[in-house]
Amino acid sequence: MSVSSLLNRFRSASAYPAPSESLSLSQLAPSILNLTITDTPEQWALYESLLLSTLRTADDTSARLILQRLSDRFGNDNARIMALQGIYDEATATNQSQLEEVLKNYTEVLKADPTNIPIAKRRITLLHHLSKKSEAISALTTLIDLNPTDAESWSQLAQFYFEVSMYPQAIYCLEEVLLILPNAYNVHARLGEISFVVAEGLNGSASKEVVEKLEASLRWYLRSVELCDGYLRGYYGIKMVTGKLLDSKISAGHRTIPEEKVNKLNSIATVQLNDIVAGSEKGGKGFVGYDSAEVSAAKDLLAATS
Amino acid sequence: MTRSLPSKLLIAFSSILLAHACYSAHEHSLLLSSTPSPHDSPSATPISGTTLPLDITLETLISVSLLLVGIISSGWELKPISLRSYAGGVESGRILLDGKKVAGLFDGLEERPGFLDVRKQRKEFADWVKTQG
Amino acid sequence: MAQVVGQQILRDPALFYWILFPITIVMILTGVLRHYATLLLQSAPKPLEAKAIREQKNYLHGINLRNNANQIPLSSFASRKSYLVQAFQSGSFLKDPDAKNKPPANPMSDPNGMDAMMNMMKGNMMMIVPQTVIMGWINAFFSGFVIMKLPFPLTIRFKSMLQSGVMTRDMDVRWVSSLSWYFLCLFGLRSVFTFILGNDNAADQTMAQVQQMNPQANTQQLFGPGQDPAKMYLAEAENLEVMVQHEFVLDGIEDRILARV
Repeated sequence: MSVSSLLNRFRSASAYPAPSESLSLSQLAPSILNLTITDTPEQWALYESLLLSTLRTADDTSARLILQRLSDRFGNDNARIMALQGIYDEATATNQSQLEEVLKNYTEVLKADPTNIPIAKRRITLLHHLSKKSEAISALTTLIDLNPTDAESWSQLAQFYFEVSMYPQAIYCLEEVLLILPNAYNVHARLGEISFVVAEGLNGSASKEVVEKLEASLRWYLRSVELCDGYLRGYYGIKMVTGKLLDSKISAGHRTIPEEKVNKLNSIATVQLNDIVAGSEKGGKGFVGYDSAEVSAAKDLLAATS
Repeated sequence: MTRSLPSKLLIAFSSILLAHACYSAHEHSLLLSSTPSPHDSPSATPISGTTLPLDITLETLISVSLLLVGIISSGWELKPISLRSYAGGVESGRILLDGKKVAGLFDGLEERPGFLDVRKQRKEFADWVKTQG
Repeated sequence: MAQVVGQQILRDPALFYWILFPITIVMILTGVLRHYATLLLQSAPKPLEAKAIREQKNYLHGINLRNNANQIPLSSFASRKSYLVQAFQSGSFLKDPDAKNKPPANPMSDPNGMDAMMNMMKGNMMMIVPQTVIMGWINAFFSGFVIMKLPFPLTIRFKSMLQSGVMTRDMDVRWVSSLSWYFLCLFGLRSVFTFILGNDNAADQTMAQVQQMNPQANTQQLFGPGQDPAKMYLAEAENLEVMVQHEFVLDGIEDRILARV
């Protein structure tokens, strides 16, 4: 296989591949390492992805070799190589004290050069991994103060806030992501999800506030399917939220979207979900992209409401 | 890219027409150069000053336009140009790369490779291996 | 038009082999040499310090807010707007807030500007030095030689281009002098270099690759030398302040979705 087709193989995998997928990617290591080094950007990108795959599957000897080649090419003081080295150290650390050592190392690097963003991100991840959540959040806010136009950081901060149930803050962060990438349909869907969780968490299940949150959630979901045709996650959300809104407990007085429209949206979502579920179960040509877990969740939802 | 039958016929017909026009033009120029011009002066070049007959010109133009129409109407799929349809194609798997699903346009925002928790993934993998026996 | 058919000049064929080819080869070799010398001399642009990054990115943050304001609810927009306008006006994102009211510093004294200038000078030196040397060499050894005849006729205008260094008024324009051949090589060898060195700017490519490994290297300057960030921040604050119209994209989305089905 050529470098570019191998790279496509890695690019099509997500950053959180299923274990079997990780294994098959990691097993490509010998063939990739045996290719002659052509010093093209693609090859180094391939090395980087392969490094992560081998670390996932605990193939540390290959990982060591890849890292060695990368640092031979780009030097040990390259920020990205430092971050990769950090990932390697994290992955191969066997006990808590070694991890603390890695963390201390990160802190020292950052003291010398506060603009080393890859290392700053590694440090935040490690803090979070070591369950120092508030420290991770404060480190991330410092990073964002330095660079408020990095969508990845904002998105991560939203996730951290979400984990500690600080929903308004999480929504704020995701809105910042939208200011940077206004077409990110998955962020719209995420906003819908968080608004829905907020509505669920409020007590007094039919109050005005709940309706407000549900409608906000519905609108975010609608925007996500407006930006992306046939977005399973979006239609799932619409179906779920409209189901809640049509619940008899909710008084019509609080609504801003009239009931007939909610009804229509609900039926649109039902039709779309039915299409997707039927198509994926048949293994139809235009449906192979859907995640099977998501499809079965949609199927359950349809079964529960019909 | 399957072409429909009428457009195939149209393409074939106009190609023949175009070839014929080329051949006629060639023959025409041969004819002119072989017949000696009436006033036999050495300075006047035989070809310059004469034009192609109108029917050959028309044939060329018509055949080229027909060929264009045939090719355009042969019904290929156009690439999506709106984010909505492209993203939808990526999500549903209508748009594939090497038979594999393309990573979503904004997946990076939710996977966040810069914040990859490698130890967690390693542990998950180790657990999976255990369940596989 | 009567063609000048005659004008035969008897040339020693050695002229051809010992002048035309050497000049061409020397030109190509210097081009290659210059390419590698440039690579060697090129210093990686200095990464910005933290405060400079902060200054630039927060400015971009303001611009983003202004451009994509319609993506977020009005209340979120209003709170961000008031925060940013206040921060921009007080200059809290500036690299050194004390310099707010001072006149902009002389660009010559700015170390970053100096760096860029130094790089530019290096590049220029790499062009000028070899050219002077080679031109001197050609002038010293081959001046006045007529080395070849073009196979096609040209108009008289080309005389100054093709026969520099040969002061004969009546010679046919098709004859090319050695100095002119040097100039032709100088300007015409670009595609040859592209062929030999892979790409026109192979030098830049390698740099780009190293930079790609360094995604945060915010080396490009948002604020050019001589521009006063404090003033730009104030202008941006004003831009944000005058934004009164806000049309949330999610308003009426349910109708848009329903209308589409």
